[in-house]
Amino acid sequence: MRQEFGARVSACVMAKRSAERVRLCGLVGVGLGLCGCYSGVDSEAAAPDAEPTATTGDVDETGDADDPDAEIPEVGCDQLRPGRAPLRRMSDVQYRNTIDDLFEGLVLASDDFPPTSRAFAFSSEPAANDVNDLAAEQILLAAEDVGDQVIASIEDIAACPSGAPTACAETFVDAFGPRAFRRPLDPAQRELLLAVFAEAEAEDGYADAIGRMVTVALQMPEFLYFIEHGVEGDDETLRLSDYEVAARLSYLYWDTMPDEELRELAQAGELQDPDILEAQARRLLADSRSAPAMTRFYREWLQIRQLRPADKDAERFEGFGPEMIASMDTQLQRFVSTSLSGDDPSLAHLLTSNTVEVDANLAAIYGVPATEGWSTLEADPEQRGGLFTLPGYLASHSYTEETSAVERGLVIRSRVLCQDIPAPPGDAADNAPPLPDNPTEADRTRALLENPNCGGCHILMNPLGMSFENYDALGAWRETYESGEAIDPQWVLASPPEGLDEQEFDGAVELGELLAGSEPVGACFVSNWLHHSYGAPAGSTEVDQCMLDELTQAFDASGQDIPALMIAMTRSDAFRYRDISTQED
Amino acid sequence: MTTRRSFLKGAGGMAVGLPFLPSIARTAPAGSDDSPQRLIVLYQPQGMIMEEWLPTGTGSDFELSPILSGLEPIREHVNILSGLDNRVPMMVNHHYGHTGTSKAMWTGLPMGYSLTPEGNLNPNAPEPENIWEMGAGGASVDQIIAQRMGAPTPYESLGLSIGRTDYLQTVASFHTAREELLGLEPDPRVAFDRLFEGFDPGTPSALQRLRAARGSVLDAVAESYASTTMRASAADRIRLEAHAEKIRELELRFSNGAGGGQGCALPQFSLPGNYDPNHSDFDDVGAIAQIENAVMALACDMTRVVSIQYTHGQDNRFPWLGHPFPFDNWEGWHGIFHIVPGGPTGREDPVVRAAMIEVMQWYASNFVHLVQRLAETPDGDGTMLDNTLVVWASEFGDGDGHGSNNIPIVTAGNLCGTVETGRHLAFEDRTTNDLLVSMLNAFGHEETSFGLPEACNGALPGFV
Repeated sequence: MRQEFGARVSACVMAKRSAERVRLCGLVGVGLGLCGCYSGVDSEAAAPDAEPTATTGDVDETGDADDPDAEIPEVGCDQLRPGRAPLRRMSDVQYRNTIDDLFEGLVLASDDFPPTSRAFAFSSEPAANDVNDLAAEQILLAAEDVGDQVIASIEDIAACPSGAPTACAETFVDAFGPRAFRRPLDPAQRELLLAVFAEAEAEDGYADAIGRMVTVALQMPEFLYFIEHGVEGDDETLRLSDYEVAARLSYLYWDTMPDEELRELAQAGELQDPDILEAQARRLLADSRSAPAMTRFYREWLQIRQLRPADKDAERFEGFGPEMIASMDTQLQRFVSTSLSGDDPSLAHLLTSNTVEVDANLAAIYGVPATEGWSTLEADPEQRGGLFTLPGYLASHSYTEETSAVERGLVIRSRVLCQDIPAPPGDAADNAPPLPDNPTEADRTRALLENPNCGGCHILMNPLGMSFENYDALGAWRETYESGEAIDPQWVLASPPEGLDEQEFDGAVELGELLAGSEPVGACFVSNWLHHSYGAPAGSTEVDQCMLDELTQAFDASGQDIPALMIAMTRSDAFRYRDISTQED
Repeated sequence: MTTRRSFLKGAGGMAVGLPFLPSIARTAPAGSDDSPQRLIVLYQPQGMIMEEWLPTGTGSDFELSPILSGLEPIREHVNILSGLDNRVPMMVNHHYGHTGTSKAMWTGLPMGYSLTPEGNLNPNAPEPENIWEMGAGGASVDQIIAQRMGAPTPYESLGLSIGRTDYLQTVASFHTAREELLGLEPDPRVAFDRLFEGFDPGTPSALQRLRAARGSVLDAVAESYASTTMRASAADRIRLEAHAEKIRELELRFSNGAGGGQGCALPQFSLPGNYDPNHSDFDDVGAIAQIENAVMALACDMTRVVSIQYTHGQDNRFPWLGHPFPFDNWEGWHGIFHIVPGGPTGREDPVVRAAMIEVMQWYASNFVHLVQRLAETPDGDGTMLDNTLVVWASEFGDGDGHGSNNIPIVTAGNLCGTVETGRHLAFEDRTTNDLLVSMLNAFGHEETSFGLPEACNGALPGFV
């Protein structure tokens, strides 16, 4: 891989069209060796490299030829394809939504619940919701907080007009338990909860006892984890119960517990039928509740972090504050949902559309007059196209005052092209190149690319990032730096993944067009979507690879229609069958 | 989506201070000198400007440096340790910058590399793949000391952070085990709530009644884990059992009561109404509040080990110092640290350098405040400071080039007469692993080596 990459780079065309930068190419080759910069398509995006035969219905026997130990699996591309899905715990967002729904708004979710770590690729990863000492205690505190509120609102939540506490507790637990655990209440669990009630009732009375029972229930694995025991199977494969499928659907598309309709379908045993699953997926997607959940995927995929008021320099960006941040968040969510529910719900559209919604807080960024409420704007197609040109995206991938070609480039390279770039070597800073006074991002990029220690890796990031230089750290359009130096957004995409040509492009709008509809970007999107959906990188086993390949192919065949991908995934075996053979998550 | 903070009911500025309920506390025998040993580790990422940190002179005859000048009032209680290298990250192929160095600092082990069965470097070990998922090399020394104490306190140890923790993995240092970070509570109000809520007297509220029933609540929860785990597949079982273990630890913890020494009182601190623990702009008030929580958690015998980490140090602006951080630099505080030769910023610039020294003096002032609070708090025959070892350090020396030679280390307290203080101990060719051995020795453990053997020469002469 390293050799192949080296060859590709040494054959590279100019990273920049201007003649002065010709020498970059030579240096890049050197730099590559020196900094050990390696970039291959990473494992989770192996699809574009896969042999075409592997994507067909035939078991790919030839694909195993170079691995003498490989056995032709019992399950293969033409047979059942269970999915790898580690046991996941509810994220902080899912917890809040679930408490809202479970108590129908009568109880407020507790702030004490452990925050989901943002240091992982997706918040669905088990490691992002790991339970250490502190988290276990935070879960307890959050459960107590909710229990306390239940006690305070006992008349609304579990009134007991009959005055017969045990009977009332049974009525409550029979209604509450199946909803909290998203499955019928197991007799042993029912007994356990009622025993908690009985003990507490004797000590502190009915209301306290209901509260204590809730405090227990909200710490139980059936509430916190997406338990998938399945209904039938063996040591390797489980078929999920209808209730487990319902939970998958609702947490994937709504980030909350199943609603009444899903519960009823599960109870009726209807959720193994792909057509019904499809209909339900479509129903959930069409509902406005899907918008925040879907947007969360795009935020995590593209590492759009939540902005805070202090993230931008207050003097330089006067209008930046909580209101503008809220507007940026709303705009992003509207952009995503409009794109997914519109006439062309394709990935290409998402990466190129210049139709945005703006409000008074964003008007200045777009250079349009402020109006009341939200209105649709056909932004200048020379300046705006696609999600990457939204202020919320651009501001998030910038520093307090300055932009960042490295960060803006890295996210495209690693998350959109699925090409890994190693962390800087330990001595990177020792070898940092000298800079002129008051350097611009262009100066920094030039310095990095011309330095043999840095250029090998930075050529993979900075040119992509530099094409965004027309947007300042807030995402507003500009054509010059403060110094008056003109911004030059014309760069070359170096070392692209298979399926994309090394090519020149002019600015972020053209970059979006170049990426839109391309095979590697589509494959990368699919692998990210699956990673998000199942909480683990897709394609880690042969069977999983079959699923990934098939979905990638289906996605391409649909013209990279995003809802079509979601539907295809929902219909796939992996959505209902779980591969439990691998111990490692 | 509304949430609520059960602790903070009112808006606006707040001063915490509830009457103390003595009946809940175990009272330590008055006037006894069998006070337990305590440990506070204070870890600050990014390093120092070492030439402005290093004292001149050695032994008890030393002159404090500009950064440490604020330590003058407490100099008789401190030891300044210079010349120790955090050598582990430099011994492996890839030291993973801040992440590998911070994890090595208190564990003495390389991150992610598999070692030989004897615990030595393994030249044939594969390069680690995902640095975020590989954890530290093992448990950190603070946690090992806490685990071995097995103290009958509600908390085996207490993790606090000063500032946000959402990206803390990048420089997280305290580990309870190889794969497990010590949880750090960033919000002093929540830490207070966890530690002291039960001390509120008067008619118990519904919440307090719930908390009083924690034993039976956790018992029932543990039972549910046991039955669910039994039905789970092998892979699921690992996760569920890990969680169940935490439940059992919680149960044990809450069956231990707090003990009140003479100095035990509810922490007193005030925070502005717009206080946000997740924003480093509030770290000045957050630091004082967390120090108060730490000192009182020890004084009330809620725990005997407190590990405190300053935030990850990426975007800090230190607004209370009045400098225009991050200046015009590559990025934030972290970027300022990474010197850019010939560039207009970084420590080469006198203005930036002066501001950086002020930041480091601010870190020093928090250390001084912590030591003074311990010295003001009676304990046994003396004060908390007499019975505590405080270790303040960073993972880097000069943080500019990820250089982990010459780590800045200051300790305070003589730990029940174990550590002689008031000295500058200048070492040569010794390592932070050696310090970790000395820390273990100070707490009565007889190790002669800790962490990676190749990076360890045994205890530091003269420290204990």
